[in-house]
Amino acid sequence: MTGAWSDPVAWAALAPLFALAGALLVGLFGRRWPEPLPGVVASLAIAAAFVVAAVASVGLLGRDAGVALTLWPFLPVAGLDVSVGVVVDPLAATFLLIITGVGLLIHVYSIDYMRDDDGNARYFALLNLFVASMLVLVLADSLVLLFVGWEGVGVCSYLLIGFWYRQRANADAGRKAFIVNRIGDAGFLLASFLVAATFGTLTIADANAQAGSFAFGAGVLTAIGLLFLLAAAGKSAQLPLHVWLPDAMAGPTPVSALIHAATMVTAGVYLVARLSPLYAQAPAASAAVAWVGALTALIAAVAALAQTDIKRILAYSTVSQLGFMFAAVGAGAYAAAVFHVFTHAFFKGLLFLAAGSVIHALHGEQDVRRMGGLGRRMRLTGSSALVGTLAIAGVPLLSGFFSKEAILGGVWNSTLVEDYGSRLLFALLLVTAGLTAFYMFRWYHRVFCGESRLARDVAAKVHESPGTMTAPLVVLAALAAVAGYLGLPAFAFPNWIKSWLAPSLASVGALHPPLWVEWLLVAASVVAAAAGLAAGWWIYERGRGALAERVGGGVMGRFARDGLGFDAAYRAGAVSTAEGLAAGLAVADRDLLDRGIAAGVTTASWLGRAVAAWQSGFVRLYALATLIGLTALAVVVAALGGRA
Amino acid sequence: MSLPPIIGDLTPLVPAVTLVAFAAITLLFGVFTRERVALNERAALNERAALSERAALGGLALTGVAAALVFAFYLWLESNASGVAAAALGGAYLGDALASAFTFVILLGSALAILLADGHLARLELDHPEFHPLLLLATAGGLVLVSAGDLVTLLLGLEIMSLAVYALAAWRERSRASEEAGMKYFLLGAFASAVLVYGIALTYGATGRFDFAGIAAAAATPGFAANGLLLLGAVFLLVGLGFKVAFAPFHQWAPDVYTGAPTPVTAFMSVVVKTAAFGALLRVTGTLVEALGPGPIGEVLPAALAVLIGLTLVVGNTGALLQSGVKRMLAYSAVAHAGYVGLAVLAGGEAGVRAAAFYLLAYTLTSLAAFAVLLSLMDDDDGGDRLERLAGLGRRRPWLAAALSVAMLSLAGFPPFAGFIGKVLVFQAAIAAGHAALAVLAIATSVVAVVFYARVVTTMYLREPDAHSAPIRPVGRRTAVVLAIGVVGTLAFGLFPGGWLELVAGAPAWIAGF
Amino acid sequence: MIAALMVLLPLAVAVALALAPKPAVHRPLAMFGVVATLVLGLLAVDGGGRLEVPWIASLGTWIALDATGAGGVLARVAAAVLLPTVLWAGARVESRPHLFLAWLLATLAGLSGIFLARDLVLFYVFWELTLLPGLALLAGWGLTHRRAAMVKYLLYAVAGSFAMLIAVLAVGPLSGAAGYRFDQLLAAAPLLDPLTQTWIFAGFAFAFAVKLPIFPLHAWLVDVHEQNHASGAADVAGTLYKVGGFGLFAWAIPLLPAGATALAPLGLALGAFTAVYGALIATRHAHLKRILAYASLSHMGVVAVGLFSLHLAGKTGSMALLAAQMVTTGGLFLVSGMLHDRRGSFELDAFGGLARSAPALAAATLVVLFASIGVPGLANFPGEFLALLGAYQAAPAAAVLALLAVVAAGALGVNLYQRLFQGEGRERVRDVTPLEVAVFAPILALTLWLGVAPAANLTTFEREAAAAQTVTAEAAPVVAEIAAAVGVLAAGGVR
Repeated sequence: MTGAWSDPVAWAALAPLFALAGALLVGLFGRRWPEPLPGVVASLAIAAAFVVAAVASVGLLGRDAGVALTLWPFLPVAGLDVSVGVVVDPLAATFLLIITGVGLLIHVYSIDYMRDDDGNARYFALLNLFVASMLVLVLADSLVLLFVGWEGVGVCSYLLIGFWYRQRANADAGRKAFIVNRIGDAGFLLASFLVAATFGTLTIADANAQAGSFAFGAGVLTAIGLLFLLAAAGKSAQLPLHVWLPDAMAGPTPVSALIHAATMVTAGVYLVARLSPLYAQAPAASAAVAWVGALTALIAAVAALAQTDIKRILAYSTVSQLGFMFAAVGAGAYAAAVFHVFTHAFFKGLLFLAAGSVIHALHGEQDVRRMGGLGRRMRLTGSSALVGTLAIAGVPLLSGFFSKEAILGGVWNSTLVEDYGSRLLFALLLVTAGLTAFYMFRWYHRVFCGESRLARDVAAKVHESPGTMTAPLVVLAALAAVAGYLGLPAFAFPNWIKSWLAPSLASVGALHPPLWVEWLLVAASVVAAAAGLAAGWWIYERGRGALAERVGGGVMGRFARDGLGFDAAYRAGAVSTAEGLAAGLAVADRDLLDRGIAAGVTTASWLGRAVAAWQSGFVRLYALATLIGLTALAVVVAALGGRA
Repeated sequence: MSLPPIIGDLTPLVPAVTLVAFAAITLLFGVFTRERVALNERAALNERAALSERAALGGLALTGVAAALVFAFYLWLESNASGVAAAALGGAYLGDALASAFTFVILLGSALAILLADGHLARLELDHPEFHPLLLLATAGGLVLVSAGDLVTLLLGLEIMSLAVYALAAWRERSRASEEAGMKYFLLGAFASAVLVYGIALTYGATGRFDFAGIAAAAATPGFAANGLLLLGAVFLLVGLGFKVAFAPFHQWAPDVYTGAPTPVTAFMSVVVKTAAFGALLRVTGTLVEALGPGPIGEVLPAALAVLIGLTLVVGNTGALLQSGVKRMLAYSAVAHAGYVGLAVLAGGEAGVRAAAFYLLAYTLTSLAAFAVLLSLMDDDDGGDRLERLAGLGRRRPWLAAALSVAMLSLAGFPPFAGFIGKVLVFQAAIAAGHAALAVLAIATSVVAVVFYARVVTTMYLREPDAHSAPIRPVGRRTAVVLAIGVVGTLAFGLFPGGWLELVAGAPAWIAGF
Repeated sequence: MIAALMVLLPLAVAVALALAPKPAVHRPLAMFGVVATLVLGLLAVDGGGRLEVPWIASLGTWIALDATGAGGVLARVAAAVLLPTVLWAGARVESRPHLFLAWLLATLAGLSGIFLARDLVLFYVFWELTLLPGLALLAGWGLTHRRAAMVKYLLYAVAGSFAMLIAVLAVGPLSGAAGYRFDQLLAAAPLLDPLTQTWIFAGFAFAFAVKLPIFPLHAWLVDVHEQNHASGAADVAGTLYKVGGFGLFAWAIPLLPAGATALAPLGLALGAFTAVYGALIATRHAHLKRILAYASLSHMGVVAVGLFSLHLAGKTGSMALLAAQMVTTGGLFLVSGMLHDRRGSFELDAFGGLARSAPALAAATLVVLFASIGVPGLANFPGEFLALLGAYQAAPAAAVLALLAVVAAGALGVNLYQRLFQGEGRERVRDVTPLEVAVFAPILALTLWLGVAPAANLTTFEREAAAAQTVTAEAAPVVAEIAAAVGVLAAGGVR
């Protein structure tokens, strides 16, 4: 799969360059431009990227192989001739479209959202850089270049989460995200080292190819898989490294949308999908991925139940949805996972932008306990939010339903993790699906329905957001509604996206249970969604909300709200340990070494004093010393000579 | 080409004889002019005449040294051309590579020392007419010492040199310190000479020979049974000469005498006497090591020497560490440097001699430069060499400070100065000869040395002079010349030591001991 | 010949600066010196970059210089980094600026010598000489407690270099090499018996460990940086002079493979420990320069780990990292000078919220800071990646430990940025001045260049790394024994 610039597919390689150019332009000169010029320029850059991405995707239709393009050498050392090169294949193209498409909408939305912010230019420059990094990540042909994007995403998220750095909390949140990501990155580096040591290459295609020649379930493959899982968990906020994402909404809301929907957190899923041939050979590692995903999904969903911040609820729901995707890639249902990334991008982006619109309208109010009834005041926002809510809840015929169903079916039918409790995984996910429906209903209801619990002064000023903000909502709502039809249940209908992605993904054999079982699975996910929504309706619509909130306020509730105590555990464990160690070493560094030198100096000067003391000044003593020296020598020499 | 011998068989003696002759001339000249000088001074009239006559004395002495140098060089050319080393008095007096190399160093040192002294004699009231003659005699003794082909000549040279220096050490009759120094040096020196004579006797008793070649040959003859006796003799010789080069524990005279003696004399001693003594030591050790052969007995002497050297290195360097007087610090550092040259002696062979010769050349240039700076800072009754005196010199006298810094860096063994090349040669020879451990000790002590050399430099540049520090008198012309030669030489031989090394290496075969 | 000029020209300019009468000419003269050296470095690509004339025949030493190899790359980078440094120092140093600049130029001359020398004695000479400018800068322009720092520095440095002197003078004669030129030594030294190689290598390693520096020979580093002139220019000179890694790479490892192999485990352990040690301790300090010093110490640990892996990628990466950290650490020290300009202090508590009034300064600093913590696409990453990659092949444990240090360094970096630039700003400070822009420009350019297109340099480094000899099969068991013995010794030392 080699290509040249003449091939329109290869033009996808320009996408990151467009974004980068936008970043440089806005970053260097944007500060002097009048608003909304920075936002417009940034949006245009992404639009250009979207165009080439679209062209490339169209060009790929009906091909069975991607296009590879090598730009310039990067690390031509020790036989691993790593170079800066891209691979454009269906998987990459899918992500390109998501990133640039949703990214573009978020850019446009931001133009008004970030109006009159003195960091306007910095914001859009970073936004562009963020997209650029993500594009590099998905286009990279080698693990090294992928890591370039991987870290770039981390850096940009750090800067955007801490965008309003004047409040300590925001800066801290950014820092936390960066450090937690860095831990995952260490896993990525170790994995790459192991890949280089095992396969003698860092090119993804070669590594995948070589993995095929290894025995099924070979230990080294499992090790590589687990190390990459660590990396993916860091970037995609999976257990146990999920702690940064809930705090990450400290940044401007569109940034949250970007992080949660289009970029960053899906990188982990992408990584596993990209290395699917390797994971397909390592069932144990795959099972680990699946279990991490399922557990994360459940725990995050539980945590989401108790959140009171409009964005924090959505943040936990992202963690939970990512758990679904991990379960899928772990179970070998790679296409299903990517499909869910695809749909999730729309409805999660939609939900965050809607939340942003609400916060914008309420001038910064984020606590759902002080909202309610907004649906009447903000019709567009409310209705599109409803679409998003139903989609993520998995209500039939909306996009979320299809992708989630694909995941549930994929897990149930998985052969890869069959021996690792695939049925239990299914059960966990099913429960989580129910919970999802419940807490999303709660979210929507607390914000948009019921009587208003707004503070007077705020309530007075509530207004629907301007067109540049609502338009993206509408577009996303439409997509969230219909995107699912690209991946109808494969057992009964044509599943376009599966066949589209086939060239880039490993195909893992799946069980083929009788048709009625498949239909039963569909029914199960429908029931789960329905149950969740019903429970929500019963509690919140039928005025039992107060009771629910009291439960939420209780011990269990607080525990759930604090993310089930992970942060506290880390603070008590790792953080304090490191600090203690550092303190100890610092003390040692001060005293121990300096004392060592001092010892040497004292010895020398002590000798010096001895010599000086010996220098009595009396001739007789000098003569005596000479004499003693002479006799001593004579005796010793005589002795030695005698023996000889 | 072959040059005609000058005075038949006696050719190698010429440099020494020249010096003696000039000693006599200078003495006569001095005695006859003395009255007038004194008169002029008392009548405070015709100051210039007095000065000029003093200058004349110095000039005369310098001429002598220069003449000797010319002859020595001539001899060296001659023996190089003929390819055989000259020998006089039936091998009792040699003109081989060692002799000529050390002769050059001694004469250079002596010339610079005289020049330096002349710059300060009057100020320090040292200018008695006997001063220069004695310097010349001491130098002559040094030449005899390094050219000696047998132990008797060696003793002769040693005594000629020593007696002259005893007198010079006590030169400032009005200073108790100076007298004490002379006295100490004399008493201990006499004691050491006695030990040396004893050693000579024992060696003779063992081998029946005085000449080095003979001693080596006799010991080599099959059935030679007196190894024990020879070994004992060797120890006595070692101690006798070890005293002169100030090996610990026979070094204790050095700090006191160096400090007490008039500074110009100290300068002279630190270079000429040391060089001469080392020349002799090299020859004697070389001979004895060869004589005692490689066997277990042969290893005893080097071991003993190694112990002395190790002790010397430690004592010299740590001793200098706490000194607040620069002069005394230099005295201890002189002891330390004796230790480094000792490494070359221990290494022996041509490499050893080459290393020692170069090291002493470097040391001569550097240490005279240091003394030149010191002398131009010290007060008129030869005091004021405290470290504080150097405070702020960097700003008050940048050139003096720079010169002293160069000297200190070279003594500390920093490139690109001669001292560095000297250390390189010495350590290389020692390691090649299998004395790596001792070399490591030498290095360890060198680190200590850096501290006290660096203290001098930092004092000059970092410390501010206290208000009541005496003004610094302008540097005299002669002193400036010495400084220039010393510093430039230190740098030149550091960058391009090649010429000198070839000069030594290219010399004809060794006669005795090698 | 060009190679010789790379040493002589800056030296000449230094002398000229010291004697130059008119203040007006000082800064242009200094700039000319650096630029000219840099240009020479860029010209010295092939034959012109090499020089080989006998120096002291009877010693077997040569005046052998080569600007076409790894050393050439480092020399060029060093010159490039001194460019902004001279610019900055010329403006920031108040008292006797011409002397300050002269010493900077002298440093450049010495560094060129160290990097280009292909004769071991010559290398030692430059190694030793370059000590003086650093001391002079500290002595002449340092802060109040500079004396103690100087003595400490001097003791460590001299102890190291004298140990190296022994090694130098041993490796020649004992191996019976024809001379001290690299190729002459390379033909003979690797054949020395393992034990001899080990103790000679120990001599080198001691000196290089002091200059890397790595634990436990680093104590001088922090004090020197803390006491240096507030402009941070002297610290750059000091950073460029961290040539221990190069010494291992260019001399000790290729010449003494058995010794290197025997001591590699110890080196790996110390290196990895140093990496963590530096990164962790840095978090305990509130003095900007001390933090930077400890952070760079951590980098040096990684360099050591890469070198002692004796793996092609590891050694290559270490050199790349060395070059990169010249730029990034140097740049950060210049930034420290700029910050001191604004707040008159290095204590972190004096800062905070600067990003608000000085966004450009914040951005530029952030780039350099991220580069120094190994963010890919910027200077340090290629070297760090390859160094750790190599280390992983040789000793996974060491690599993992060093990797932890990288994580910690990352945390340190963002903490530092937060303390300096984020949070509520106190009174406003001015944003970058034109001068500061000019200072940043080359630093940022290098940071990006080394990060985006490192291939050319890496190939040069690798070519040289590949030239190193390997342990012969029959020597291997002995080497293993020695290594074990060393391990036991070290363990004893720890206890």
